[in-house]
Amino acid sequence: MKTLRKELMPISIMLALSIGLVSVVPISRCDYFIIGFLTSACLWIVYAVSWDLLGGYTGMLNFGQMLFVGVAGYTVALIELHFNIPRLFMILAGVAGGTLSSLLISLPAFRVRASYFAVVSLVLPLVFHRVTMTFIKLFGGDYGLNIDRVFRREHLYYAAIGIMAVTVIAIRLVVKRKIGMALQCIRENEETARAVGINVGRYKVIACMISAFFTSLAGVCSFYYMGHVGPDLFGLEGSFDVVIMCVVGGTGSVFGAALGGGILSLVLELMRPVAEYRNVLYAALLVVMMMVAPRGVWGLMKSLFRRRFRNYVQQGAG
Amino acid sequence: MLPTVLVYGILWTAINSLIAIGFYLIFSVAQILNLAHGMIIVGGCYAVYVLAAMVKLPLAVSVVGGILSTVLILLIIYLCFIKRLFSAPHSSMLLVTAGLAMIMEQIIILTVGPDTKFVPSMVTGSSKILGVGVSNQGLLTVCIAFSVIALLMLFLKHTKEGRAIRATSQDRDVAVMSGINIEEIYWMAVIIAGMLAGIAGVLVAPIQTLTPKAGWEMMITAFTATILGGLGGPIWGVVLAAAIVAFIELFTAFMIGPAIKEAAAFLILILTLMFKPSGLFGKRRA
Repeated sequence: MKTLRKELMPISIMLALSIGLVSVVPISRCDYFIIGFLTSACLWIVYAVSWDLLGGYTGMLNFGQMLFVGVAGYTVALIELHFNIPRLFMILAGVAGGTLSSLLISLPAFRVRASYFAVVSLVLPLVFHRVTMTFIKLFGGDYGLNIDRVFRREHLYYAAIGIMAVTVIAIRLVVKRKIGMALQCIRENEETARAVGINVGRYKVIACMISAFFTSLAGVCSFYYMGHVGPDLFGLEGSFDVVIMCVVGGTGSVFGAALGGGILSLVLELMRPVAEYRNVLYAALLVVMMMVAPRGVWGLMKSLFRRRFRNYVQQGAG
Repeated sequence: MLPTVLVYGILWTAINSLIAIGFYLIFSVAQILNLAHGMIIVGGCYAVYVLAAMVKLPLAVSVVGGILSTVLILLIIYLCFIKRLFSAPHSSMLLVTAGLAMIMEQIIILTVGPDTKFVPSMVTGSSKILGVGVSNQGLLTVCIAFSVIALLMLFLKHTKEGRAIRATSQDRDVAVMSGINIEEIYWMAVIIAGMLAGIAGVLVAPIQTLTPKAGWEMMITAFTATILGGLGGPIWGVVLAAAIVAFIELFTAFMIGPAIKEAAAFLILILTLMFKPSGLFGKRRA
């Protein structure tokens, strides 16, 4: 409860933001263009924030965040197409599938250096891509799997807002508690973490599962919104976008990642006309940010604010 | 089927070894996990393509140009990015090299195009070995690759610089204490790796159809062979690991389907990381 009280400020910010986003629907008279954009922005923020739990806080770079989205999407799609069970169970199965798929990355990689994890996370989506392209009858090959619209778009928009708010608050709670401290300790020095009695392997697997859980939740929402899941999710581009969002916003801080997700999904929309240069500009942005401002926009803002504040205090004291 | 797998297995062992050894050298000597290595090799392939097919230079000149270009790219990456990141957390190195690989891939797509390209062979014709048809280009590839590897092994074994490189890859701190100039060793490793990448690129270009995406797959092959061979281990360990990867990939391609052969390589990677993370011949803890 004590932590919850300390987190009152972020929770109220998220609540205000959610109310603001919900009110867009009546204000824009249910304009599907705006709603579509905001839905995808919310989902990108979820991906970025949950990536940050692994990449920013634990120091395990995941170059295949969209893998969870893809697995969750394919699970739901396959159940939708082949079984007739209540939809709630389908969603649960999708989320469970996505979460469990994180074990495929974390179990082989948690015993070894964090940098090996990055390569494993890079390879696994490729394998899934090949699997979907090999068993075309089941997975639909290049076309992926498609279903008819089952939910209204504004309802999915509300769901996306809810998922975003819950994710940001939940991950903030996680990183402010003991587990978050343990994860940051692992990032700074794994040997020390082991020496002070942190079960490094277990914490890594848990962090991976939490990250995958929220991502696949958003993934199921995204699947129902588009009514489509395809092998392009297992490509590098989507996962790279998530990484770049976090790096631009600021790794190792929940609000930084959320900020990056928000900014870059807007940029993504604005760059539609010059789509072919998008990837190269994004990658250049990643490299430049890493070389110039490795703490991201949020880190820059923070240090700026701190400097102002310090001057103010010093003047006051003098 | 068996002779085919044998002949092509040896061909791909040669190529995979060249791809992997460059990656392995930088990784074990300078502790740089260079995610852009595969893309640098592809850069070499495309340099040959551009020089030979678009500028219409003679093939020999283009081949030299391809090798020089990879050395140059790797040196630029090392000097401008990697060197400044040695004191940063290890994740920055991965992020930056991945970003650079992405930039290179996109530049290739924007300038040359995303569709597959064909590079002319250095030699024409084909021969039959064990009743399996192989192009002479393939035979040349195997010969060049194995002689380059043999030369490299001799260099590492018998020269003073080679011994310094091996010492650094086994234990950097002790190497520094014995008076080895680490800076110089890194330079040497980067240049040798660049040359190996260039040779690999030049050799693989006529055999495989070229796509920019292949860079990621090459990086994964290199990484798998490196981990399986073991860091700090001997070069022939990496060659053996490359052979294991090549043969298992070929068997899967024959048994199940060619599209899924990367999954087999990934399985090797996972099993190695789970059960023997230090690799088969590694001398260092993973």
